[in-house]
Amino acid sequence: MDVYERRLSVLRGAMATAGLDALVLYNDGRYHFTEMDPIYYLSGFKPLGPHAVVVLPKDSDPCLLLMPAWDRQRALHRSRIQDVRIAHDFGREYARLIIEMGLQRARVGLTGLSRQNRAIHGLLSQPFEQRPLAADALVEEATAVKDDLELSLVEKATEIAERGYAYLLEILRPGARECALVGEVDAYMRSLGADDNFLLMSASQHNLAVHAPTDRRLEWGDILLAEISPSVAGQFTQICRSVVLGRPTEVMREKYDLLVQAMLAGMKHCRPGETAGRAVSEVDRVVSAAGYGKYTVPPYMRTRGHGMGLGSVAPGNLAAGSGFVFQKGMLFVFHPNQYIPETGYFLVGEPIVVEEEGGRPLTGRIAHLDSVE
Amino acid sequence: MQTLQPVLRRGRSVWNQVTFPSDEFQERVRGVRGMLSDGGMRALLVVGGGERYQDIAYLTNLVPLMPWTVVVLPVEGEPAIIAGIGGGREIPFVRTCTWVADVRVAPSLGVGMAQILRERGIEAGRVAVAGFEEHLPVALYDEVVGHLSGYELVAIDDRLAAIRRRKRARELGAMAEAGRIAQLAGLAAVQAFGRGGSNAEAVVAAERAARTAGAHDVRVLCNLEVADALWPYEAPSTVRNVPLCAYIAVEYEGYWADRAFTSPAVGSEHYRRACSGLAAMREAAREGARVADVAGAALREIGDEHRQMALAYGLGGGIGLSLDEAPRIDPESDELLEASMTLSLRLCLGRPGEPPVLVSDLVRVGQGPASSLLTPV
Repeated sequence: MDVYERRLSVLRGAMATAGLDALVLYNDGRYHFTEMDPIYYLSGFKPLGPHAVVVLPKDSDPCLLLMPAWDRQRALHRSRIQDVRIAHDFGREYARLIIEMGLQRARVGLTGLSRQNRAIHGLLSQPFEQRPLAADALVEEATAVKDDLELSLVEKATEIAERGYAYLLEILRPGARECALVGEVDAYMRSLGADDNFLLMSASQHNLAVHAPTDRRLEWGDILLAEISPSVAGQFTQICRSVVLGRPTEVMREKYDLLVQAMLAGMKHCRPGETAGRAVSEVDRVVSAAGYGKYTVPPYMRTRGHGMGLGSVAPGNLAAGSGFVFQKGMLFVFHPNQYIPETGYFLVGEPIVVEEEGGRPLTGRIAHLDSVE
Repeated sequence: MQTLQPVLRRGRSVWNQVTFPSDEFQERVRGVRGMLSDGGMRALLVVGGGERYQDIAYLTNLVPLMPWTVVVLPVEGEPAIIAGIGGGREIPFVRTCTWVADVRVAPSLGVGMAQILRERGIEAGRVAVAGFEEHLPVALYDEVVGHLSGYELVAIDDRLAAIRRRKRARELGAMAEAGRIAQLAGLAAVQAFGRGGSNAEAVVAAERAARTAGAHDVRVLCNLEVADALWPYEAPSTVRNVPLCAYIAVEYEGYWADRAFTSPAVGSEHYRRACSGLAAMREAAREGARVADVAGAALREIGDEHRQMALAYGLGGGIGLSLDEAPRIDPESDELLEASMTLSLRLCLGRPGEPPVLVSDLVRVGQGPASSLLTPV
């Protein structure tokens, strides 16, 4: 059984538990860093949009219906689902497909609700006699633990992220424009195999947060923040790094090391049976003990991390009080990124996998306050 | 053209006050407020974000990176932007991207909109909305509308789109710059390919050139792994399909332009025919012309053998703050062209199994034949 067959089997198991006769997985061609994409997960094909569905009956082969027509050849090339159909009129051909598969009276689960406006939701529900049930959580839970393919892809993506960062250190110099640096580093990672990238990079003498790149030319004394998040075959990773242009001060080193220590303390609690909230509270405890408790909440930070994945982004955001329990094999980025009044905002973060001993970083080298002198 | 959307627009993101000074937005807002007043509406609520930002950018200059941004524009009083739900870390940067002073986060979209309306003294009455039906998922729609139950909500998406359709001078300038960057990107691709690189390497070269030249976003389709179809870049490859055929779309300061490149192409019969078809479209695309006639002009010129592929990839359409605006150039369209519309005209010719030829132009509609916004690099 290959990985795609196993994925089918996992989803069918979840369907059986929930008493579903079929799943309808919907995608509108919009992609988000922290939202799963079950069509890509199940088929290996990334739809362009504006509409694509996979219909997965409990006991017969799935079908992929997609637009636009000119993307058919790529779909046939990439998709592990054999039955690939083109929709010129999506609503009409979707309804026809449901009838052909004999699913009008089926008990159906529908995913992709966050991508469905009222019209699309109505169109996807209309062919069924019973109103489809919301099934995003079902898919999230069933696929929360990463399979071998996801883990191998995230390792490859992490390698690309670290090489991209090394390339950034190589070309970084005062006078460079933020947007040009992003162009260079992004292209480098694309050439290594990144099929997308949630890449934010900006610099200031006292950062309030990382943001999209501007025209600004870098100066000595800047701290460059880089949130580097390439994906390979749809599987994202993320590393969070900070670089000083010039010699870092002792205060910078001390405060950055505080966040690294907080990250390591939190990661120890990223193990099966512990809650996400426990790991977050450990980060906040270390930061607060140094006198920065005020800065452990928004707007001085956002979250302490979040899940990443094609089939699931469980455990979602790592936030204070989160009751989500870690399971072995979950994947997420753990990042105590935050503002420190003496130095400004720092980025510190690693992609980690939940293991018995705690979160295992996938990076070859964890965050360190780098410098270009 | 449908392209593969990235999770984040990762290029240059600024409010360029040379290109778009505050007075430009004052004029735009004045026009929209006039339309609201005429309809007895006391405010406008626009929902958008991420991929669907046209109305938000038109009014505020902000091109949001993330989902869920709201603009509240009262007929009288200061506008406000809700730049997300919860958090607030991004607020200082968002403030640098817009002339609107009141930028905030809200516990939920519905709560935030209702609160701003009350702060502006609008407790009841007709309120215009845009983006609600198209952008809001069902649960969020119910939440938002639930919090606005004391108002009569009037959808004005079509009216806003009609205002945006006729481009202002500064908008044309931004589109011309987007077109110039697309040309630079295309040149980089052609040069990489000319040096013996693969089609995939040409795509990466185009993206690099576009972002380093100031593109906020760049999308490329190319005959990457098969000769006769345009695909998005998904992985490195050593495949060389000759000729290189690439579609490059660039967003600069919110505005899109696209360009097609076929290299080498000059001298081929397909290329000559595609250029003739494009010229026929330019000639036909003038104020008051039927969109169907623009399509018909191209299809007559290229002949029946190329009709299927040309229509499959599309003949182009409106372009501006979105890559795909109305009208779509289609032989079945019943729409008319208006002065100062901007169109992407496009022709993709070929037969199954053979490399396609792709040509395009970015034009402004006027009284005579459409004029190109593109200048040779």
